[in-house]
Amino acid sequence: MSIAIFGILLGLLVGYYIPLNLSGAASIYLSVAILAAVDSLLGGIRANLEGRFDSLVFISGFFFNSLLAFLLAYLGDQLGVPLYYTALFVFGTRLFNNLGYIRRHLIKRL
Amino acid sequence: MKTKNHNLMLIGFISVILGMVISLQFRAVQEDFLEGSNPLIRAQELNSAYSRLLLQRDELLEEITMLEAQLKTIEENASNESIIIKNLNSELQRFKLMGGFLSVEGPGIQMILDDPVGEEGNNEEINIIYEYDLINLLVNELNAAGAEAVSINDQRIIASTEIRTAGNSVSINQLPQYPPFVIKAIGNPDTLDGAVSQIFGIVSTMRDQGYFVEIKKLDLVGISKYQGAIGFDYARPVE
Repeated sequence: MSIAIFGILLGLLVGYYIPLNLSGAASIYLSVAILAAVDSLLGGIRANLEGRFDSLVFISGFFFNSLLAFLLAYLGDQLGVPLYYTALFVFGTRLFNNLGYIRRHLIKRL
Repeated sequence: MKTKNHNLMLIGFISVILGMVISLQFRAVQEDFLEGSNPLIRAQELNSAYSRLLLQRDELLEEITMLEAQLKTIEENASNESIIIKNLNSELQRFKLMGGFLSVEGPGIQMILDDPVGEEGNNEEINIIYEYDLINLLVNELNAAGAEAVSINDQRIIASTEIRTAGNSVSINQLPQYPPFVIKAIGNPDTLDGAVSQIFGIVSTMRDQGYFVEIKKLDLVGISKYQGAIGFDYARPVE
């Protein structure tokens, strides 16, 4: 858990200072992809705590889910249907579920 | 234990990537899109700025009318005073007429250009706003056919007039204009009509592309004067 927080903080710092600008159009879809990525990360931490972590599942889930969320948001825009709701709903729910497991696990260890 | 460390490293690495993306996204949204405030406040800011500008525009238009009335009284008073000034004034009127600074009327044609009607109107590819080159050609053709005054949506075409697509409008005399475009031209109605509606001419080209084009020959067309002001910062007359 602590390594994830540390990693995110490091990433935030690096991202803040590297001279790279996202184009306006992509940034709209990226916000949904970020949600998917956060979910995958929490899923990975949870699996790690439960001792059934699989690096391939973790890595593929991280990139595949983010990409899927990104594409859903993009496709929704093209079709005029807010498809990103599906990503928001699914990944949002899962995020809280995963967070709940992690919380319980940490409390048990106390 | 080795795999456990390996797993933690992987989670850490992915966390760094996630952090970077979040930070990039944050920067993109804050800097480019919102300019530092949150979405709702930004919308309100833009809204109030817009209404403020509308108000300013109305005030300035009023000022123009007032100043023009003043100028007219001054000119009239002056021309009453002496014959020289009277002559100068009539000369001034002639140049104003040439330059497009007087509202004029006379026989001519009126054209209406618009996006395709009916089902084709839903096609976003066909948009009259992006056809500023055709509108330019049209004005060119009207001038060639001896038009003495041309206006688009009551914007008088003068020497410095530009016609170009700007965002979701066509900028004419630096002012955004929206379809339908009403083009008025004073001149011989038959000549003007013939110039634009000849076979393989501009009007037939535009109609082939699906645009709505209507031409009316009229006995009396009113064309308003150029509303702006022209200043010369660089050009000087040669002695």
